[in-house]
Amino acid sequence: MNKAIELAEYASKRLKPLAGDFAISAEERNQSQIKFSNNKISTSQRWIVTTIGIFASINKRTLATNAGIDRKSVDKAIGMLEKLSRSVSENREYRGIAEGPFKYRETESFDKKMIDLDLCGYVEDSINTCLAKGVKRASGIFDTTASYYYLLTSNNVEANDKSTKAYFSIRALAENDGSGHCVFASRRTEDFRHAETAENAAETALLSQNPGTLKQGKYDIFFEHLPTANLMEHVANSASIFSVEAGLSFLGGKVGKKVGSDTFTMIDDATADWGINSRKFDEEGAPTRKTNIIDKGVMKGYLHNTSTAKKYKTRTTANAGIISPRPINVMLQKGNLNKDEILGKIKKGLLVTNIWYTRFQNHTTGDFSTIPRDGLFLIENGRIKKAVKGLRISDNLAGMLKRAAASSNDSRSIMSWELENPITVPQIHIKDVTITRSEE
Amino acid sequence: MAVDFDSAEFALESALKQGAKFADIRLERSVYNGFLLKNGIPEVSAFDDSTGMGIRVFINRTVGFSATNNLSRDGIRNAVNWAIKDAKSCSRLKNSISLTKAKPHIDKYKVVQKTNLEDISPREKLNELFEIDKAILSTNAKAPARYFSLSDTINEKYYVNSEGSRIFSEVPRVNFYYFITLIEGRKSSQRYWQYGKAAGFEAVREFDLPNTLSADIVNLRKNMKKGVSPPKGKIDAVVGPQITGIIVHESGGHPYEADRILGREAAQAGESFITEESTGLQIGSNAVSITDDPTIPNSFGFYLYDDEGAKAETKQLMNEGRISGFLHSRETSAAMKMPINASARANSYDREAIPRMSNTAIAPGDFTEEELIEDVRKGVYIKNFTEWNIDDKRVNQKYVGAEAYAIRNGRLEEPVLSPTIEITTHALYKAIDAVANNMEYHAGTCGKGEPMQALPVWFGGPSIRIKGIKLK
Repeated sequence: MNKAIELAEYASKRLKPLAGDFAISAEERNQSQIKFSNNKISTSQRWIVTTIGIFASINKRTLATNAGIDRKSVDKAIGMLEKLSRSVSENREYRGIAEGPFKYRETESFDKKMIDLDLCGYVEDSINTCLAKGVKRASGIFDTTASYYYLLTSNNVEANDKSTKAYFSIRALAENDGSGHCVFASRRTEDFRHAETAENAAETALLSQNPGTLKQGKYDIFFEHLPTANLMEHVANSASIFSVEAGLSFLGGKVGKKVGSDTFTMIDDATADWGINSRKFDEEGAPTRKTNIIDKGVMKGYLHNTSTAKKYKTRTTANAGIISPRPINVMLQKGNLNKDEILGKIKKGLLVTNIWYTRFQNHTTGDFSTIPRDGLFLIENGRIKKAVKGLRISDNLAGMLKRAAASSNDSRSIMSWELENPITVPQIHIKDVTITRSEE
Repeated sequence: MAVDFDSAEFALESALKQGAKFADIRLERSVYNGFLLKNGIPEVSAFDDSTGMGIRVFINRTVGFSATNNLSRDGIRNAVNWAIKDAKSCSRLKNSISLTKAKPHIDKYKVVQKTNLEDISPREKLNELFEIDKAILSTNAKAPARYFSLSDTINEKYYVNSEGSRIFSEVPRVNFYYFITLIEGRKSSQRYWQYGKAAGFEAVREFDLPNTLSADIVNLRKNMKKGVSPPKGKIDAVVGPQITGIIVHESGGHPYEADRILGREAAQAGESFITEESTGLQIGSNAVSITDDPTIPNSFGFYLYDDEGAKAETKQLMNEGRISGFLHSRETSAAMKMPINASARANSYDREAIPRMSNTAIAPGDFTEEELIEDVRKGVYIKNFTEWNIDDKRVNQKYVGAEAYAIRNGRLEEPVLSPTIEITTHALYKAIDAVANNMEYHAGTCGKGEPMQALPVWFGGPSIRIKGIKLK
């Protein structure tokens, strides 16, 4: 990391005479991943990458670059920024970055036991767990990352952070169209749940064999953790003021208004120890904090960086992205009931274990559809009646939040193929969701 | 050429010395310029010049991959060591991977830019976005959210492998994306699209973006103002090339990726309704043939050698409704005992090469689009779309029309709102009874792999007629 820090300091010296504001980040990442499929290893992958990222405002031109990892590359990158600043137009809406110095609360995010783990051992155990349960095939990945991060800004910020993260994804495939997909994500080895995750995937696969059909219509849905996280990512992204301005949000103009049921509370809290995406500071060095996004169904406010906060005459929520504020460590508040108790309240509905390909017809209204994938079950009187397939959720996300009937008391950190920034969610129950099916 | 050829040779030599039976190295430099205009404000201008190396080793029938941007000899040695160490560690699971051998090639190629990207100033590039914004606003449409992104990349790649291949390529690409929200009375509608080519800045001018986009917006606004509900019951749908393109990409391209068929993407992008035994199976009407062709000059998915050093070729995926070929990497071709066909791509030096589409299209027929419409008694013409999706086996798919019109007795009539096709692949391809000759390609960014690899592709085809379906 010393070399990366030295380069950041060098870039800072070069930028001082040129830029009004700047933020230079240096990150060293050692990431290891085992991809497996059909009970065998497909490939091992390793990334040893150093990134020097530079944001600069030169005469109110907002500019960004990534430099290579030597002084010559830094010189070239800054030369290009200078050239760009003479050529492009002013960003009239840019209002600066956070003014330090700051004191940072130490957040637990790094587990040295995560370095150089024998990932193959975990993968082998997980595959064997699935096979012992009686499924045919197991596929997935086990991925660990150790990251060291340094930030230096024009506004009296010099800060360090480091983190580790593990992500495990396993899809079990049984005979007769049965499949189950489960994941976990954690900051430390003691939170690993690979055996339980593999078992759950296998059990879902076995239970979902020989799926039948179901009529289109409205059904209550119990969403497991994985699909809940997928949907909540869209809600959290919609809370960024950038999304609101760009037409990518159904939460525009909703501050102070009811946007969800009383059971629905979403926060962004990057200060939580071992929070799956916790960090000490955002991309401009502002100390992270806990922000209520939606509280008991009421929209409390948008996610801001310093510049957007000034524009809207509010305080930053420490969610920079300097160009685009974004959620950092999102958590959907859990409830009091367990899964069985919630299922017990569903007379006729569906249990959805996974979704994918969520696409919006109109982000500002929330009209969208998404496709249940893997185990999908008809629920009657609180019990699984049969496996079904070939259905699509075609509804409105804004309406679904208002129809949220319950959140479970079991909260988990979820990351997935479509969800690269993990979030922490319970299972949720949504009423009267529109289900469609394809013409055959 | 700014990349150091010797460093790739050094990595290859190191890998072989450490016992790799096969190794290949991709040394890539990518120079990127990007501009973003949001609601008339230039949000950020970005420049990036990055170089890195991807190292793949094959040892004990196991594949190991590592990537680094530390290109010092120590940095490369370290990356090679990790690839070997990780692969050896994994080989205790008794993996049984084989990689098909390919003829070695020593070659270099580049896409010639008529108007060099480096000769166009950032101001001119950003001005292009201002011109588009101005054109949209001049239509008097109420467009409160307008998001435009213009970027260009020059990718230099040096590929070396232990079979003796040494291939250098230089491919420039331009990429434009827009996303607009329109308000008309109490209705709102959103429209986005992407334009991309492997070319210099001349391509951006050819796109004629101010006129193309403002015409789209005018039509969409009319649609919002005057649109009525789509017809009920069985109808015939004529869909334009944009929809043909997305259909063929999703259900005529992805399911033919051999790694999906073999289950290698099971926990990521999914599998396929097609099996290894499906070759020759009739799943569509005789009117439908599909190709994937990376060699189309200036196409967004252009390459002459894939990222495993195999020479690019046109692949026939469907011939007159019959499944006729798959997209292969070395690994999948060995597993299926089929020839390789140069379909392995990686979006960057730090990603593994896996079977991907390039430029996938339904082949044109003999009819004009007008002739397709003339024969429809009751139906819709759908020009473009908003929402779409498909399941992970590529069977259940949905397309929601944006600009669309009713057809009655062979004539285009009033606009219709959000006609929705929700249909299985088998029902759809069997229902295509006529294919027009108005061939178009459109640009897209295709996602697959883990970590995600977003790759430039074209998808396309002419207008097609889908007979006797129900709209939602």
